[in-house]
Amino acid sequence: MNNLINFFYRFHSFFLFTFLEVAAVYMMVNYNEFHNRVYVNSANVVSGYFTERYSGFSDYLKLRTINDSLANAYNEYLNRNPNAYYDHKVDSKIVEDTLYQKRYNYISAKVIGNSIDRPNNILTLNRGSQHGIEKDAGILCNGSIAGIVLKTSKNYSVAMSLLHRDIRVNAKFKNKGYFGSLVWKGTDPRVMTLENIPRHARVALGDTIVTNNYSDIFPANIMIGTVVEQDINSGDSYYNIDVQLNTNFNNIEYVNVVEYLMRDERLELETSVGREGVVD
Amino acid sequence: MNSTIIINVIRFAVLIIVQALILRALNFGEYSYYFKLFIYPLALLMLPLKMPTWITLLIAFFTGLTIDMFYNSAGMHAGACVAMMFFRPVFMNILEPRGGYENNPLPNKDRLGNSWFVQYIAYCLIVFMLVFFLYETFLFENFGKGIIKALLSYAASLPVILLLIFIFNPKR
Repeated sequence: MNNLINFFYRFHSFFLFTFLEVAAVYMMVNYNEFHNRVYVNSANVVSGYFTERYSGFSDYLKLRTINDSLANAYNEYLNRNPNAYYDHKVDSKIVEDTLYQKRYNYISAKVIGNSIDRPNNILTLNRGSQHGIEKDAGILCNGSIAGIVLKTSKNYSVAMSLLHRDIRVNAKFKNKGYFGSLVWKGTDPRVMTLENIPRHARVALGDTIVTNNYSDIFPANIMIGTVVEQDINSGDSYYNIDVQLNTNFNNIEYVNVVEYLMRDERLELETSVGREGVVD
Repeated sequence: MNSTIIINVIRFAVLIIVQALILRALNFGEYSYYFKLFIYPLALLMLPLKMPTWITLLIAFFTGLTIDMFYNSAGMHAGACVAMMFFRPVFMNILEPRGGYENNPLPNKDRLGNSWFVQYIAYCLIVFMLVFFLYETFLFENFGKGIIKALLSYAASLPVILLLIFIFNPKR
């Protein structure tokens, strides 16, 4: 007996070593069962706190990437929207297997240059001709119109924002159908003026102004803004209508450029008729 | 003696925090699969040389468990630490200086000499690395990769640990 005790005493560290190693292996093997029980629950009190703090911090650093991917996802959604397709059903009943042909293509872009305080304000976008952007393409921001592309280089494009004196947008009342052209007078970056609305039209404050079906730049029925002021002088045949813009040019970040895939065909047809044949 | 205990406690706390919060979060991209940086074994190796083995084993086990909590690797660090501290007296015997350790109860670089100290750290750390990656691969991957990972991690961790010693030059 004495010998046995001596033996254990002499090799006590070896036995402790073996015992601890077995305990460690046991933990590794049973890790999954331990996971939800005592071990990690007590661990969560200490390390969970720090891990959560750290991941909260690193999540914040990833926001830029997340923002980019959301902008792309929205653009993808616009591309799948039925509104982006041209409906062939009416024109050609013969061709039954290609009922839908794509009419508008949307390209996501980021605004990298902007101004609102000049007479002619320009947007610079980080997408250019190699991404499919062409001259005269329309620009949407969060579902409202924002500008028209003036010129493209390989990687960038420059567009006049709505706050530009040369801009003319075909616009109409959403419900009433009267149409006119929208211009900017160069003073208030939130307000544009709708011209050529005839005297017999009934205009109310708060009426919604949307893009026209006749436009070869924007798709139809895209939101522009609401009427905030209207008056007509006696003797004039047209209203003066102020439209509050839906797009806030102060903080415009991500935009979608509209590529009208059938514009060439349409312009070719229209010019072949000749100027006198077209009603301006 | 009391100051030795306090200094050891502080050293454990600092090394565990650095290991768990900074080195764990370090990302070497695709290479981080192959080598991991471990510096907290230094805290165990700086324990007094004359400490009874069974106490060092228990300390090693709970230190390893603490690190395991952060690495979500139940038992691996604990097993590796215990093995390293079990083999520590063996290496101490191999490296024993002429006068024994009677005059030098603490692992002191200046008193025992640079060569003794570097060999002591190097031998103990290779045990730690081999056992750790043996456990890791034994459970999840194949054996050859475990050896490669152990050697690469060893080659990465040893210089860092020696650098720490030569910068801070701990006396106790």
